[in-house]
Amino acid sequence: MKKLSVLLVLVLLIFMVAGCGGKSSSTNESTFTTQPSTEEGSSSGTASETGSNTVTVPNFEEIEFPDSLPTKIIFGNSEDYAYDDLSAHYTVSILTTNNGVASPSRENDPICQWLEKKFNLTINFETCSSSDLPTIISTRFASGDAPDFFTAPDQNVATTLYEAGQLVDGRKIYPYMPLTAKYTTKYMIKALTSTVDGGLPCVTHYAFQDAVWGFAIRKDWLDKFGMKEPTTEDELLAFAKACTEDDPDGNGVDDTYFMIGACSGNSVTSGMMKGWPSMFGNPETHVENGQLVDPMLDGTRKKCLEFLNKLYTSGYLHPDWYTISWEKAKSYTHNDKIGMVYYPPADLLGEYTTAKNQSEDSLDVWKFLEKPPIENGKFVASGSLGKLFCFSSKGFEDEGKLKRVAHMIDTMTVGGENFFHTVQGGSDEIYSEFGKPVESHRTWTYNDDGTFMFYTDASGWPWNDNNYIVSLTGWQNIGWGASYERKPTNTGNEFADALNVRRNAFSDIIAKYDRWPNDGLISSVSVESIAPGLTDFVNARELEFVLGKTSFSEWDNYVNEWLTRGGKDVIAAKAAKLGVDVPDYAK
Amino acid sequence: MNASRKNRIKLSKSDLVYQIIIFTVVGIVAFICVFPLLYVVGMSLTSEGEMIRRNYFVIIPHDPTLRAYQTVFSQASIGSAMLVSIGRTLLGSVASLVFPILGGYILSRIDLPGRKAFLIFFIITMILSGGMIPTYLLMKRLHLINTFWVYIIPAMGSCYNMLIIKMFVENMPLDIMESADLDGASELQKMMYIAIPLLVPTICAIWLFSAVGQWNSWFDVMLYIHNPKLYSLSYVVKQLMTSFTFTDTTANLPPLDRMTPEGLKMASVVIAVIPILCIYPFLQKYFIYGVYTGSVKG
Repeated sequence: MKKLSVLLVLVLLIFMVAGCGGKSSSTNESTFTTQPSTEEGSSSGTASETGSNTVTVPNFEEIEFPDSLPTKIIFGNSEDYAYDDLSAHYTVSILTTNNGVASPSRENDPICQWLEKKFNLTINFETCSSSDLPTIISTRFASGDAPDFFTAPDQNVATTLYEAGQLVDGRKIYPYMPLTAKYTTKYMIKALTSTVDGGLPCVTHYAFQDAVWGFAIRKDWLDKFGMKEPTTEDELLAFAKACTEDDPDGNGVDDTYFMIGACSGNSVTSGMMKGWPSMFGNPETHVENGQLVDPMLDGTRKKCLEFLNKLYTSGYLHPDWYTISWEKAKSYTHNDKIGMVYYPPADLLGEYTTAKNQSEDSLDVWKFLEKPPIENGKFVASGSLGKLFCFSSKGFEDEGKLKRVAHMIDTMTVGGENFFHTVQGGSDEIYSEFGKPVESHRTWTYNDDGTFMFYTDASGWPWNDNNYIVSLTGWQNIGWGASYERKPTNTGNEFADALNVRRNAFSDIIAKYDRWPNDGLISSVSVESIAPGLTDFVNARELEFVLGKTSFSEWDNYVNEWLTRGGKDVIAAKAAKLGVDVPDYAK
Repeated sequence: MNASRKNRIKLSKSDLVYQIIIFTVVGIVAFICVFPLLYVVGMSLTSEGEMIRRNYFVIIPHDPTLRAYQTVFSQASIGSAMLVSIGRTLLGSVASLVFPILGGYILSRIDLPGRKAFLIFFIITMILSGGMIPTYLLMKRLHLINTFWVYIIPAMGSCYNMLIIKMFVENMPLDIMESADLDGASELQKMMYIAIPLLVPTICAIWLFSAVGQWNSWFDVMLYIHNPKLYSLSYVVKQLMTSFTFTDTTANLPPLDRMTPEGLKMASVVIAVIPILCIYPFLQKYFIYGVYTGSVKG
């Protein structure tokens, strides 16, 4: 019996070790490598040893970042990368987001294979959903398993990790990324410099869909009403009235509306309404004559809400304008019930013509406005932050590896030698190298007007291999920029060519929009961390104003309440970021 | 025929009304349960054009298409994900029984030295888990990160299941165990030939819960697996559900521009749910038993 008891105790002990042993083992684990962040004012230095040569790279302070994003593609120069002779081999792990399909394994990934050969690297490329990225990043960093290079979910994450000494200072990386620097504005650099020591937690450039949105109007309805494109509020309201009351679809039922918000129950200026705030003044907190100006207090926000109130109380908005989601709103837009939308042209025309079974008539239904539909209005600022490229301190202790990866990433930027090789599933060249030559007819071109274009007919491999291509889209997180893209117009498919001619024309219109400066990049703060609940308060009260449940005579009381509920702290934080004094009303 | 009609019990008016109300309520509840499933299946068979024309609300598609299913199955990762899911479900659910049965039986023995201390220890670990990061570190120390075994080994030590087994062994009639003692049976023989056969319904219920948990689990994949070849089906579906889009980065992909992300997501859900739906009717009684088992724990 004693022997049995001992045996039983042993089994139990095994069970304890197997199931619960982690508690003791984890206590001694170092969860953070607390290396100091790169030194104050760090720069790359002026000289870099590369084999027997000494190559000069600029200091960060010497880099001339542009005031605004280039309107035309700038091309890379291979001589800029003389700092990296590609002789040493490195292994790098990369983590970024995907479009719902994980990247293929290394040996099945033609882009990965191409880059590995080209840059003498072993690349462990991993992708995940954007919703999972924060959890994965925080767990891996806390456990000492951080990826070497990753795209941060947001600036706060990057800043937090940087200030914990986990990331390489972007000022040390930009000198090795000359092409990226040409697509990084001074505003972006200012926006990123929100760290305690003034360093950059990451590197960035143009956003995926920067400045591709515009107001599209039903051209056929305008013609029917005998109106021209609205350029004043009165003209716009006249069009809105006609959309709602003149039965433009001719079905004898009052089921057409000027707009549908697609706000999904969020802010009254989200979804398709997000183009309106900039029509009534600069919608972001900014500096004028050395003084802080906030849209909540200078009348800009009030004017916008008064306009939305007019639309709502006149019945020009679809009854579900505030609650309906973007996807559901599409069905009203594409079933001819809505007169104006806020959309990217490629998406609007593609979806609408698809819904109409690609009929010829559907091509000229929509037109993008050439000028703001409200007098003195401007369009939303361009030059927002793109993906945030972070380099982990632990992964790049070796300067040579940092140079190599910076070199590789820079060539994947638009205009870089590997741009076409790494976006939209990759170029034909990478598939030939991969040992599976492309069967489809495909074209990749930089156009004379400073844009790029690619075409594929989808009849052969790899484009007919549905999600194989989608799984490769993680790579284009680095270089893709829709604002530089134009669609092919000589594919041989008459309908597609005609559609793309229109898409391109509208993209050109949008590229020329008069826009506000991107003050929001510099002045934006995390409202929820400064004043928890303030965003919900604003959303609820603004909805009341638009619905007419609160009179605009109450506006000043609302602003005062906003200030006392945390608005003062928000203004003070913005003033600190903008480097101006806090206005008296916020003290 | 006439005789059977004569023998049928005639319902009074109040009984009839009662029956109608019952059937109506049950019918409504059944409809509420089945409707989401119909919606998912309907949407998975609908093209983008029809979805737009019908306000994204389709139960019975007018022009059904299997394109979404073709796309899901054409994914390179679906085959391996299905195998991983089947593997972890079968192996993980069986593995989850071994230690709970052994441990549960041992802890049920009143003469076990330190029984109370062991019990307290296990209950504490059951209530206070290590947390995400310590658990990750443990998996790393055990070299389980990025291996298939990260699905199996942690599943082996379920204290909850062990305590359920313990409770059922304790509730077995003492006479049976005593008669086995009189026959000279060892503890191992008593466990193998008396306790386990009597525990079959409990074991089946635990196995079923564990199997469903293994099939549906995606969080551990997200945390511990970096290699797409080891992704489970539920994680592949979860990624599709949360991130699949053609509108921005993949707007130019020709084969896909006539599909909607919604259709594809719904097709993925159907594919992930079908295996469980197939085995459920046969194991439902154990599932119900399992719910009952949990309710009388302790």
